[in-house]
Amino acid sequence: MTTADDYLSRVRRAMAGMDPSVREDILRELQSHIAESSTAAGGSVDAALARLGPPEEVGRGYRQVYGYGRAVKIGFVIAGILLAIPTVPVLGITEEAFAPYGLSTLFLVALIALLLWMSAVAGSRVGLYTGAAAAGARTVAFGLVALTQPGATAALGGLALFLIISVLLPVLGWLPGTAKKAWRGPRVEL
Amino acid sequence: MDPMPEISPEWTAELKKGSIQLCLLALLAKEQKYGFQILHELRDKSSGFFDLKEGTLYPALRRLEERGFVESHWQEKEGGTPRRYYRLTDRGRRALAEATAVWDEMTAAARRVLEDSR
Repeated sequence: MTTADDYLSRVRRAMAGMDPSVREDILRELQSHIAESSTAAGGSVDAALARLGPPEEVGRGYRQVYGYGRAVKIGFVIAGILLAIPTVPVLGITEEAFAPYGLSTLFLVALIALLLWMSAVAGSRVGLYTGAAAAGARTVAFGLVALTQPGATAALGGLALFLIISVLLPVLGWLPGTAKKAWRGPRVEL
Repeated sequence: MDPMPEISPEWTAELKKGSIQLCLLALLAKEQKYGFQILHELRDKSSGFFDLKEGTLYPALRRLEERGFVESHWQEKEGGTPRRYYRLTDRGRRALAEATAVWDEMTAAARRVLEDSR
């Protein structure tokens, strides 16, 4: 592997999760630049790479422009939905004696952690969508259980808790990304 | 030994950062150009003042593209490396005109104020 290849693969790694076609196009442009720049530097690839700066920084610069690709964003939403379904306690995915409500709480904690983290790294919009999708998935799961098992309807207190958590999810998905943006201040650009 | 400068390097860096996008649009006003060429012209025309880290130019161009101010395409060169050329869009041209007007107004105003201190 040449030093240029190594440099480009480090840029690629720093752009992980971005749209693959955009990423390859960027690498092609950098490759073209390195060829041109090293020729101007008397054939020194090292000089050309040094002028470009650390590959991780270059990759980060691109990520700030493009953000995560569609595939990753959809993956986030799907992960949110999958985690949301077992957060409904009445589903009874395990024996009550083994983990009464305990397991669903665990899934809820995992779901909230996912929402907070994703909102911070991928932005408040993805977080909000994922939170809303998760709330929707919980409601559907809850509704299905209530319809198919007439005896499994929750008490009033349980229903209130269910609603509060469902409303909270989109808010939690939206908050970190928005806070991060507000903390940084507006980007000064044309 | 030189005395320590009184002004912070951040101030100078912010001024540069605030004007770099305008300079990029201006460089693309007359003809399409590719990254390496833009870097050179920027450095030469500004006598080295805008000597930005090369790895920051390319994302900056992409941001202008995402903003709709420039568009780009690949151009194959016989026996050479293909180049990605950037050119102004109509929106970019209007943005350049508007930003230039603000720039002219600001520098003229600042000059009038500074004149008194000389």
